[in-house]
Amino acid sequence: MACHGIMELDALMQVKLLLLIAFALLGGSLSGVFLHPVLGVVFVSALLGYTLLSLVNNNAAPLVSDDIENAGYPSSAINQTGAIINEVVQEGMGNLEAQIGIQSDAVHTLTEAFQKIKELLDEQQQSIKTLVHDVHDEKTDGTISQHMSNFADSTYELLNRFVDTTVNMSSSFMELVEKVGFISEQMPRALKALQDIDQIASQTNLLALNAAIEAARAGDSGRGFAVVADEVRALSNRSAGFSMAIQTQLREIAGGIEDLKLTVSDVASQDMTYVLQVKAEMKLVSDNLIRRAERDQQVTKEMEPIVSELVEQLHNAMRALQFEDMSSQNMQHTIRHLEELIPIASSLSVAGNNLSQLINELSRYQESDLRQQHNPVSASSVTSGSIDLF
Amino acid sequence: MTSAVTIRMPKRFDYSSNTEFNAKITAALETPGAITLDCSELEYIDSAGIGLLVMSQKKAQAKHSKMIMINLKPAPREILQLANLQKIIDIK
Repeated sequence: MACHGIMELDALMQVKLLLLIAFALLGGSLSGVFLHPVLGVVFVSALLGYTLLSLVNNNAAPLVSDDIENAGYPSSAINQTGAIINEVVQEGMGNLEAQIGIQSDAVHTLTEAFQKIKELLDEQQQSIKTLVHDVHDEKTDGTISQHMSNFADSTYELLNRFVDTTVNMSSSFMELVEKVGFISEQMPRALKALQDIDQIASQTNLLALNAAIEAARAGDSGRGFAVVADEVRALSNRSAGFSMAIQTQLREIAGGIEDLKLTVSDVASQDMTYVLQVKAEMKLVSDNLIRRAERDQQVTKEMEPIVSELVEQLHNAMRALQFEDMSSQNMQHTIRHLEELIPIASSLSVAGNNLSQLINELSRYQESDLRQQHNPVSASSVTSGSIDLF
Repeated sequence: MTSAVTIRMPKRFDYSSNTEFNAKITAALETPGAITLDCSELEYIDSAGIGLLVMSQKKAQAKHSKMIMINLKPAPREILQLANLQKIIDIK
């Protein structure tokens, strides 16, 4: 009965030990990865130590008992414990090494992506500047809004010059019309003078006719006078003919003057309303263009600090990625400590009733140089980290 | 300078107004003092009308007189300002 009770107690102890070891390994791994590698190792060591101490104390009497020794439970439990520790430590080390590789690849990809984003941002900023500032125009270094403003000013100036020219031209034409009108007004007087000449010619003709009649009446003595009278009549007729020709030409000139006045009136009479409409439309268009250009410039100006902030954040991200080294060293440190547990676990798995090899391995572990070294990475965050040189 | 003569401007002031307006201006320039153009009826003015005004102003200036335009409606006022006539004629 006593033996049976002891066997049940031993089974319970083994379950408890297994649970303790599993908890030590799980907690130690998690502490090592997420909190601190040394903390993980210390945690595992402390729990394993406690477990071993409990094992030795509780089983001191049964170990010397032949019945229990013959049953073989303690040696089996220790062997299984060692195998489990060995397996878990190996798996933990493999996982950590895999994680180092994955982390390295991810950080490399992220660094390249951030670098590319920064280049694209610079390119985008340059394109926006090209849009807002007319950099292709080497003569002037102004913005598009300034160019548009200058263009609008030039257009107004051109329009004003056109209007001034039109007004001056119209004024000159009206003066011309007035002067031509003055000439036209002189025409009736000239015609009147010519009509007076016609009347004189007619009277002269009549007078010469009377002289010829009187000369004929005088007979031979009046023959010479008759010749003179005929010449006078001829001159009078020629004078009347010239007068008629001049009158005809003057009337033609008067007709030409009237045509000229009509032509001048057509040229001088320009509707100014359309100029007003054109001016208003041009002002509207140029105002819209200038307003748009200024708005674009304003938006670009507002974007500048955003882009700067974005670049700054990218730099921060890229800088943070540099701490991948610290993380890798951290995990390497943890792997090396786990490696040291392997001989202990191996000793446990073959220890059986002979604990001397295990005790030797524990002593070696406690005296190990590596154990004396502290973690080279002392930082707990990327903002204030530092790496100790070995 | 007091306003001596007032000329009422027609509804349309263009080339057709030439003879009548010139006659009125010539007559008005016989009287000393500024010539007032009452534009309360004026609705349309073209470049020939503006040319007539400029020519008349030159005549007035030659006789040390000047022209004043009053009661202008918005449309003809805008056209006169577009032609910068306010620089040579007093537009009220």
